[in-house]
Amino acid sequence: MRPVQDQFFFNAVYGEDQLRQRVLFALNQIWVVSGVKINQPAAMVNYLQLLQNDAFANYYDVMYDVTLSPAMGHYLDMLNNDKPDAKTGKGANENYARELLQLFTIGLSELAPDGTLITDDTGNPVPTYTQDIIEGFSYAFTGWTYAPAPGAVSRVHNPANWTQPMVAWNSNHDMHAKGLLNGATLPPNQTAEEDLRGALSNIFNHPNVGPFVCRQLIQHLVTSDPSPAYVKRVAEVFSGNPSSSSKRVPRGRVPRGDMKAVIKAILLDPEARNGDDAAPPAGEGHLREPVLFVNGLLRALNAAVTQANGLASAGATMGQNICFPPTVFNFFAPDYEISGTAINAPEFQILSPSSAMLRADFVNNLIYGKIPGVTLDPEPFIRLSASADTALDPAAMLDVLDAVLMGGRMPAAMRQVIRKAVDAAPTAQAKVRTAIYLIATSWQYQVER
Amino acid sequence: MRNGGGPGMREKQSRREFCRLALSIAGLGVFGRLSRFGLINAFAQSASSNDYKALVCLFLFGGNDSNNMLVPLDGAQNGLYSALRKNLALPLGNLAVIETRTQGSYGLHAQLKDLQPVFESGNLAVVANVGSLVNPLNRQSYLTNSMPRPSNLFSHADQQTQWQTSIPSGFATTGWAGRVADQIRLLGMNDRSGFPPFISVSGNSIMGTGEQSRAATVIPNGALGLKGYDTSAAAQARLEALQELLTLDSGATLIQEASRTMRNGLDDSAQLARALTGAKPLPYSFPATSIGAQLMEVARLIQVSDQMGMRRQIFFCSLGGFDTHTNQLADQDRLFSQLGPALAVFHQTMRCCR
Repeated sequence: MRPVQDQFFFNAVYGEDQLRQRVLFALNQIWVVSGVKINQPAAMVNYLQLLQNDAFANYYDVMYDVTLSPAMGHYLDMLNNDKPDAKTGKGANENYARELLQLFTIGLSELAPDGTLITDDTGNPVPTYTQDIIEGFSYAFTGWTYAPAPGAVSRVHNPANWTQPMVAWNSNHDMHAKGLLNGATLPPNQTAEEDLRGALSNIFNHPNVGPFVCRQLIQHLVTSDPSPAYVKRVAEVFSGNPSSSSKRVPRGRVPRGDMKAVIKAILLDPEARNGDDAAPPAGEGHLREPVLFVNGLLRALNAAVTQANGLASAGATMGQNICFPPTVFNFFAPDYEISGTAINAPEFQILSPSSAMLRADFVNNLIYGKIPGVTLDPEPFIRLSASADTALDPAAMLDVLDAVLMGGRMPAAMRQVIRKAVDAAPTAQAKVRTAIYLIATSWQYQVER
Repeated sequence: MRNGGGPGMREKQSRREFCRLALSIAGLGVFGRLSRFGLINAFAQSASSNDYKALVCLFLFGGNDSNNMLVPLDGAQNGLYSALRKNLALPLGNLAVIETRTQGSYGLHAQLKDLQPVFESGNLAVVANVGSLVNPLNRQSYLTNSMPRPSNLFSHADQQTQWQTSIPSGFATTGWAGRVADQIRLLGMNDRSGFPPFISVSGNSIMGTGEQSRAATVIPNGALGLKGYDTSAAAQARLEALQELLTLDSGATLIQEASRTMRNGLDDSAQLARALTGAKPLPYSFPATSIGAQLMEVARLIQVSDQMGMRRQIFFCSLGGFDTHTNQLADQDRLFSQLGPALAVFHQTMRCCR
């Protein structure tokens, strides 16, 4: 799997489609598969390409394509999910049905359009589904197997094929009626494909999908704890029925689930643009998770990265081994709250006192060229910060680094502290390294705002 | 807690009570209501100079199928096991047999055979039928939904959190071990140390978060302290700057929280580094597995608990992958093959050196 991981970082650093890479990575952390179980590079490549292709498509496309991908099929056991057998009492495998609902589309509890919990008369959350509904979906998802090898005749269970969508074997599909969400039913005697489309449409049209998915996309792309109003504005765009107050998306022109419109709404929202002119509100921003921390630094500092590189293990050391989340619950949960507080900040789930220090060690390794396949050259920063015949000007150098790393918003107090250490460094190279190290290890940098 | 101390418990009273107490907390919910917690107070009062107790928790993430961890071998019980488990029943011939004093024979999973002698020497107990509940619930009251149930019963994530918080419904902000740590501090049981009583060698866990207490974390086999610092004036200036940046008031919640986390890391690792300097190497080698490395780290830390001024500690380790939806027998076998040997060496190390 190592070459896949290397290529992920290579694409993230050099790809001209930066937004697509970011959305791919966000989707990859919602629709989780893991190399812990899928030890097949071809399957992971196929899966990442699928998410990349669908990043700007429709959320229904993501649902449909992932559902039939051999990677997900294997990871959550929809692949070769045989129809129930009354004689042995064997039911259908519920794994995919359950996680599809709980993690990928609607969540456990009914949500208001702004993503807040709906509660019943006693103040408790209202479950979105029952065990019967899980069984309905798990039966609807029976009968799928690997695509046959080219030229081969399809069978009930085909041999492994990691590069093509799964195919149906209808005599292995349960033909009974199936109960779905909101009292809907799939009629009996439908094909596997008909049941699949019916089941996915039923989920896709559940009112939770917009707020549930959009809130997570906002968390990945912009801020950990978006206001309900922000979630609502984006979820309205997701629903394809934007409110008349939206100037950016004309009413009625966007279909439900349109990812381009959703991403645009996320990134252009006034809440996302807080901080363009002045310091954003105290609660805003998100901690750069290890992968984004690595990529952001490498890009800002114009580091050279080779196709084979040591970035995956650098990420793993800091708690995020790309392609290998520990479980389907990803590296961190969307509703994680910082230990001992009520602050919703998912990425803090993998920030421990120890891993916080390992992030500083990563920066140290980076500036001293100790990461295989990665070269960070301080020379350009020295040249940029010195006129033709003079030595490095520390103030000019800090200006340059402030611009590339902090959007020119480095607080004065921070700058003063760093300047002291820069002045104590003996050479121009050491001064640049010291400045990069102190900015990059600071949480003022690591928290993106 | 139906089985109380479980079969074969032959330990000293104090240790048994401590274990039972800790496990009770998992079963009994809100900590403040636990009058039995006075037991820990009693430990504090009766403390002698070499009085040390640690609770090492090993969380099997994903939900271990414990019906195949310990298999009943006696007639009727075994018949039920085979009938209910069908294709998931283990072949009995492979099991490591243990004889309890009052509860008949059981078979440990073959990969846990290294624990058989530990049981026979009276150093292993099984506490069965423990779980997270709002209040007692039987099959009937479950089926008729006539009693409150723990929330989200079929969600791994929620159930794992409930096991760690002992709060079976609603939203938990503290874990049971964190609340125990609060009491350990309150009672001054680690009187010479301000170091957190709860140490995780497996990352963040809500289990160790208390009202006042926070968890310390240690990376197994990890270095203590930051890389890249020598004794030069320039390096010292850089270190001072890094530390000073952590104290700036940024006016941003997440920056403040991350800075606090890093300051804790620097403080903890400095204390641990001092304590571990000159520590003797451990006498037995641990398996080269994740859980082996974690338990080895716990053993190292227990070894220097005196230097740390710690008399009551709680450690958190974990092994993931137990959510086997298919291939259950082979996957559990593989996971237990990591668990059994690591636990056996840990036990051996504790017998010898603590």
